[in-house]
Amino acid sequence: MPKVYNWQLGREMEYPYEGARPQKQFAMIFDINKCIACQTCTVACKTTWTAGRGQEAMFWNNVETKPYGYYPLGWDVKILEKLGVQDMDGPVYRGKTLFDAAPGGEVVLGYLPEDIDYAHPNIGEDDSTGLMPQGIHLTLPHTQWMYYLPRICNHCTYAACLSACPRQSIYKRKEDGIVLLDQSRCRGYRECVKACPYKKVYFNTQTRVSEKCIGCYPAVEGGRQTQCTITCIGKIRIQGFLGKPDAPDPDNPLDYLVLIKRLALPLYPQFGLEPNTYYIPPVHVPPPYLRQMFGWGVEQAVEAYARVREDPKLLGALTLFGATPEISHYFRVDGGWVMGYDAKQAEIVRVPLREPTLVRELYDVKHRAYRTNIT
Amino acid sequence: MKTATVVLGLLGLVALARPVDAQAPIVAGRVPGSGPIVDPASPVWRDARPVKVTMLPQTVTLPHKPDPAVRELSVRAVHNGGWMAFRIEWRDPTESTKIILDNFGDQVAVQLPIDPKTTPSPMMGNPGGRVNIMQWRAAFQKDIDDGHAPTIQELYPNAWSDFYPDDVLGATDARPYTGALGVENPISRGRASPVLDQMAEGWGSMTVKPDQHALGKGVWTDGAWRVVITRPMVSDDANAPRLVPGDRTVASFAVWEGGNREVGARKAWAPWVPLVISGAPARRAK
Amino acid sequence: MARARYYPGTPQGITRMWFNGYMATPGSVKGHETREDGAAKNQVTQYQALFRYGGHQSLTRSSLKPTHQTHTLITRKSWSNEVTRGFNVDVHCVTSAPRESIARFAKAEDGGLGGKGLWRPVALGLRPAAENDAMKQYLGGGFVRISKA
Repeated sequence: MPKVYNWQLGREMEYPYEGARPQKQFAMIFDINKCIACQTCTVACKTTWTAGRGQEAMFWNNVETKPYGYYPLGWDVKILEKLGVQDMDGPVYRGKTLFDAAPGGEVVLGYLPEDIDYAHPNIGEDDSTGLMPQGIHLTLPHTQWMYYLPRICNHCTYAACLSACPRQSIYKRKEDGIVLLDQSRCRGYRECVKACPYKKVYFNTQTRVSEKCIGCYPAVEGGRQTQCTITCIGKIRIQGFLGKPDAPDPDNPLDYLVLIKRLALPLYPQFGLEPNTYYIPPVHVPPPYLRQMFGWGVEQAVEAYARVREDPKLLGALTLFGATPEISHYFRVDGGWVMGYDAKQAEIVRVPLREPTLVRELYDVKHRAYRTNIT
Repeated sequence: MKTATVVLGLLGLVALARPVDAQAPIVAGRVPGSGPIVDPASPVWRDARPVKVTMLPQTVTLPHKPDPAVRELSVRAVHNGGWMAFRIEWRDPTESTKIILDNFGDQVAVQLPIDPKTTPSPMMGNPGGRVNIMQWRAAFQKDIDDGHAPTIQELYPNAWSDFYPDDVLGATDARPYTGALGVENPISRGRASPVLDQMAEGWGSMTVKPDQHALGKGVWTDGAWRVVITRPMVSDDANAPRLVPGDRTVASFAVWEGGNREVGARKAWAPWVPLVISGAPARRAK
Repeated sequence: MARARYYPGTPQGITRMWFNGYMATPGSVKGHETREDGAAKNQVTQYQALFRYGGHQSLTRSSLKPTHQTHTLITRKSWSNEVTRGFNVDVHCVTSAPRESIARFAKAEDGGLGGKGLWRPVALGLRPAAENDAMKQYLGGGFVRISKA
């Protein structure tokens, strides 16, 4: 079995195919601290891609409340339970990946959900942990906590879905690392649905083949971020490309946030798939649960986020989120502004780091009225 | 004399009833008629001798199925000079025709070498050794028997969707929302035949042929499937087996019990079984 | 009349209803009363109500606001900066969707079809106050082991 290098685990691991990184890797960062679960991203994805027959309960993008929300039901509890307790001391992962833990006769450790597990996409919404006593007040971290986790296909470097297909109907694009499921080649075996630990491949009962997030590749090819990213009203997302993990470019906002500053962390890195969606951890959640979900580096990321205004470059990278529909390949912070640049290094957006304040006179001469708060 | 023939005939039957170590050949005798032989209840099968084919678990390539449900098929073959047909019977307590995420359909397949002069690997062929695989699916059978593939409302009675893109957009604009159907994936639905006519040169390479020639029919009663798969014996298709009376070739089989979550590589299969295409009429007691 | 489920986010004895736009309609009530499964679903339009009877607004105050000082009230004229006195559409007319109030509710019957059984996610141990062992371990981050700080 070939060995590939997984930078998130800091070591080599076994994978059924030879490792070959794409020229650039489609990646997305989510600032969990800002997500309000408005589901605009979900609606954007659904109206763009999954409005057809057989796709009714299919949400390539979904936002679930953690910890009691999951789509499909219990997806992460189940795979964590199957994998068992693993050591999560950094910076090298000493535990097993899903490939290491594959049972005899299987490519990867996985399970097939029941059809009815998809019946409650938003189960557990807003359900917090523990009992809410009278007189409770906010602390950091919260004693009763919950947060929202928006998810798409992670377009993993070492995708389990791809490894499990006996017909190679799933492939990873060389130009941008987007993982696609060939709709003419698939025969509906559902090995991919079983293999993906994040359960981001879905079975379509009308076409009888499987489907998954396509990374909005028509938009991305044209230099535009994904639908879920550009419609996010909270500007919690940025989509761009990661470069090579051993040579990160500090002028690339994704490389800078993920590989250099380590402010954004991968989702369940212990599975070993090298997922390419990264999350800025929520500052109000107790670290043990976050460590299980995002690996080591959680406390440092929370600390860096709390002090972001001391770091203009970091603040600039965060300010680019939701600033423009175009993909920023490069960025630069200068004089209280951040500029984003496209692949050809042309400026595509410029945003002030501090929102300008405008003070109006109390008495409006033109209308001969006082400006008061009228809401 | 007559008594002796009868006694010998009876002895022959008794001999066949005992399990044999060597695989008995399938003898496809000639039956009257012309055109495709489709019906498992047709009287032509009366004279065809059934052969037991032992099915093995697929443990050659990942993913394995070490415990498939079906261990034995009973296979008969006949031809009428134009079409050859295989009638396969096996026990299955559940009739699995519904395809949703955690439901798999029953299937059976017949594999023939395209060029038997160099016998290809029975494991779906090998590079340079192509095979023809005719695969019958219970789900397609049901689609045909019902007249249409099940709609969402039929699968989920309480589901409701206000409208779909193809209700309001023209066919071209709605096509991106039709997924595999829009790219005419052959296994999606809308089949005229419940049998897929396919070819392969090694596992993982199976391809549905652009021209479909295989027909068939499957019926489930009393805990058993009886499925006929039929194809023309000769054609000008370079990638079809030539089946000529007087030839000796091989055939093999694969079966999937949907109720046991079998699909794709998770199956029971049989290596090559000798197949004799006899010019003589089909005779049950040889 | 609506279905209630356990919600941990409010203190015991208190719960909350929100986002319930799908009130009962004559058609959905008829559906509830005639369908075998009792679903509050309009048989003609397939509209599915979240209430067997009534709606969120059954609990909130009538749309007629108790405005005060109607003739002497100083207001801003709608869609302008003009200060005016007396009648104003924004203040004195019926407006839509009064939203909040405090109400007391009582249990009508057990949940589940025929009042029997646990909701499937509860039976599977994936809900608050009904967690199975794996869920409890998950909540505490127990599927990873950290030996160094």
